[in-house]
Amino acid sequence: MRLTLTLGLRLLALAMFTSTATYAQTKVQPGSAGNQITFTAAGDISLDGGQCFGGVTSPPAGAVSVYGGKATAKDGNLYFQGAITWNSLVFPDGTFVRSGGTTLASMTNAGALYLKGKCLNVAGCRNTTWEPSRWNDGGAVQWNNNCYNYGNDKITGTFAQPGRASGNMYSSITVAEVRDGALSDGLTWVGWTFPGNTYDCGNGHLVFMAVAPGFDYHWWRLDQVKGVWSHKPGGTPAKNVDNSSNTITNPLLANRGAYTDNGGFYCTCGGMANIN
Amino acid sequence: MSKSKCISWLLVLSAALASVAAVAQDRGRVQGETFVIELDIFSGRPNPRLVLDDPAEVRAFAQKMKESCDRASAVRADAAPEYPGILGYRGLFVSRSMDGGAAAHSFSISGGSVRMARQQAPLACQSRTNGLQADAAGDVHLLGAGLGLEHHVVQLALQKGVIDAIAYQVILQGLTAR
Repeated sequence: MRLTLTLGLRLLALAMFTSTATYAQTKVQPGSAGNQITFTAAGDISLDGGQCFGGVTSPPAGAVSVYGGKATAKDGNLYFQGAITWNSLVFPDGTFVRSGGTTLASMTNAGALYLKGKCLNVAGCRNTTWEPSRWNDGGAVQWNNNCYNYGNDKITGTFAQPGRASGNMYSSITVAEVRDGALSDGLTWVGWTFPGNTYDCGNGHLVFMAVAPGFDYHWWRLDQVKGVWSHKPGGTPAKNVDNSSNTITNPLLANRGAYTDNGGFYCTCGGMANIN
Repeated sequence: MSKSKCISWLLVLSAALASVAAVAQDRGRVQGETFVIELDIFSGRPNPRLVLDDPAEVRAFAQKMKESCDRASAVRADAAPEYPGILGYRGLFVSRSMDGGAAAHSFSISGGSVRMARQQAPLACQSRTNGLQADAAGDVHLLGAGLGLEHHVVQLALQKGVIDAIAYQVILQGLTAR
């Protein structure tokens, strides 16, 4: 059964998510393109031009309540108050999303999402490639976009900071604070250990973060063809070698200078991340 | 006083004033010139900036600049090292303004290598740079300026609270590695 909902039918959505046996296709802003959100039979949330964001306690202005108030949505993005767990094998009590006898997801009363699959932007995240000419213009693009812009493959011209776009910017330079900010912006957690250069983010690409405690943080990204990492130190040009001028095949093993603390690996949707 | 005598006195007075200005410049005493210095050290965070508008600080900075420029050798653009794109301390970006006017990029210095916009050269360096041929971008390149100016700026930034002890140590490590 597939049920298409509109803003005008949000009350119906609430009724359908209070118990069982439903997977829904939700169009949160009728009439505009690129905002279809679907629970697929495979357990993925399919978003046509958006992303899922976890840990968002202050959704963007104008976001509308969906799924019985368990989340909000705007511009095709879904915002959950609690964390998002992908590929979950457990589904804690809350509101369940089921298809036939299969549980696809549960949303706790605190707003955490446990998902059988992943959030997939079917409109397509931009695949990152090693394209220094896009960033190294020696002018406004180069100087006003930092490692976080580059890692997320998104030019904002604001020297983007982890968590600033989602109202959760770090308050100190620690792995925990910068990580929280990034997760709040919609990056999804992969782990502390190197997942390999063929790791499949589903839709999106792999990034890595490290911290020089009390000093600064830095991001690297895995470019296509997979296996080569690149980065952009501050306002300087993007590059694909480390501080020892060696090609980076594993950022944990690269010469990172003072950025000694492992901040973990994440997936991000190239060009569509919620950063500023 | 005749008109010709008056003109002569004016010429003498102008020459005397020019001489005084030259002496002041040589001593790094440059009235009306102020600087904003960006310490290029961060990757994610915005770089810290040091504003030099106190006359004594400007004078000391200008003196260090003069020493650096006098020590350095001019090189062609293709012989100048690239600005380092590494993690950690990379260098300084210096903007200058005159008499409260708009600040304009003047020069960058990294490990004693200077790239200077000739039209915006600090007064303390103009006697060194005026005769040099600029590249297509209007810049002149100097090598071997030493680390004195960079050390001076970093110490001042620490004293003024622009950077903290952690950043200071990272910068010192970067300078030591040059």
